[in-house]
Amino acid sequence: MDLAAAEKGLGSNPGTIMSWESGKADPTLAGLQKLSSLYRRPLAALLLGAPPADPLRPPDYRTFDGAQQTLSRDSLVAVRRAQWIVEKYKDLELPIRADPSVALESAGAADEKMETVAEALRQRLRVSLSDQQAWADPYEALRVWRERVESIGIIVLQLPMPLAEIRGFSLASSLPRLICLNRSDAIRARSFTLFHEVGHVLIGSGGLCLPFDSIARSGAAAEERQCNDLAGAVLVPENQLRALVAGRELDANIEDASLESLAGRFQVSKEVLWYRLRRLDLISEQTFSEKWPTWRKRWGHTPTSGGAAETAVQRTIRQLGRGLVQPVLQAEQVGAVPAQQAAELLGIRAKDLAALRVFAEL
Amino acid sequence: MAVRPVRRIYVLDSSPLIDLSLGMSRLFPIAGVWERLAEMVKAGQIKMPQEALNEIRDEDLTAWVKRQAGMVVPTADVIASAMEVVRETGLCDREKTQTDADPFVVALADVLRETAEAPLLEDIDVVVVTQELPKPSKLNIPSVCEARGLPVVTLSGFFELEGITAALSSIP
Repeated sequence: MDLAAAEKGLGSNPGTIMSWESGKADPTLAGLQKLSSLYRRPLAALLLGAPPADPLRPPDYRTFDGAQQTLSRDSLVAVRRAQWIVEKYKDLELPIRADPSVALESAGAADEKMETVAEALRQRLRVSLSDQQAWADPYEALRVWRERVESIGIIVLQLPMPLAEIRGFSLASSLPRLICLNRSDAIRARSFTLFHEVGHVLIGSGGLCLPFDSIARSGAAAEERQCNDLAGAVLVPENQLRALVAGRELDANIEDASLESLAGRFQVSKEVLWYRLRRLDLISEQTFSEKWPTWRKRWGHTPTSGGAAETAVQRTIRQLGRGLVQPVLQAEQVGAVPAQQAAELLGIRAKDLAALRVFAEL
Repeated sequence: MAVRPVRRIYVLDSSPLIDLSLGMSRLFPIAGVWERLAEMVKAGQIKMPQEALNEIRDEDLTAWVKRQAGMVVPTADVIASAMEVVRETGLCDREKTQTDADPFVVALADVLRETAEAPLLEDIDVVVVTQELPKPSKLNIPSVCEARGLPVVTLSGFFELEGITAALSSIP
């Protein structure tokens, strides 16, 4: 937020904040409290001798050259909250599982081609194709995929952010690793973003991403392409896709409904299926390019799902996931973490911890 | 030479009240604790900074604290001291997106230690009560209090100092 926007939010005259910062005038307590609310920082942080340095953001893969772009206030707050959760998790000495990339390497996937890595990851996540085909809908798919990713020690959040700006991000510079999906995104797109970010975690860099948007973008970073390939290969295994489309004529005239029917077998979107067909050379670049832009226009308008009549406890589980909620509750239950700190980390009232424990199946 | 009696003033973080309101299932089951706390507030022995009250999101507990006249100390009364604490010690969770009462708890204890007036022939001892535990090389309320020579106890330590042997009852 720039000074002009802050002064507007504060309802003060131009130059007011500058005069506080330069020491020409003393801020009022009411002014500081408003600033604290505007910046989503504690009042105490405004008492420091110098502004707190922003923590290092993960690489920004939304640009061609990896340069950091400006983030809106909502996205910045989501990134800061995720970074704070990781720091607090370590600070409270909550249990940290093995590094997920080590777990995958032990499955023999290091330095193998993407399909092999994806298969090793699916085995590690204990998801068979028959499991995947038995899921009732994409909501169940995302729920199970998320729980399995959490089971290998990755925290998976879902927070609201402007969709055109960011679809997901990951923090991988220290343990625990964390992935954040955009809660405003379409449900199938979130599953794709989940495994795209798992790719970043396994590579070890983390990132701020617009995975779908990078698919057809010339000049997208190599790491983005790798992560998209991993996401596609995990969600739509090669052998099964080849078997499914064997003998079919696949061209740009194929009806969306037919593609959706095929995609439904894997609980993915038609866009992911189309992308996989191209990556496996089952359609030509020209065929891919004829259809892709017609869908591209609609991505910014995907409806937001859910949210009606949701309790605070349900919202906490959905936003923070069992991978975070369970260890916090377990530590609180044995007295290793005060209830106030547990509630604060989970963003709920302390008296809701008991209900959350029931929901989190503890 | 006779030992002068000590009058203790307790500065509460939000965590002990939250634990107490949750029933303290692991500790001290007895009735009457809230009434006892209310008496101590009346006697000027329990204080809490406004920022700590802001951390309490449970309506019943917030209402109880607000009913205790004189318990909550306005932020304006401690902000200068809080700035000293933050700048001298770095005690501030700067990336938190909500309120952080920790430096205000220490600041209020500092202020009371400087300004509280003891009754005739008594000494004043300002004690901080928090559920945070001291941990090696960790910057938190207990470590900062220790460095400033401020006694710090948990809720169970507070009960022990006050001779309260049990305590479980709902917020009145």
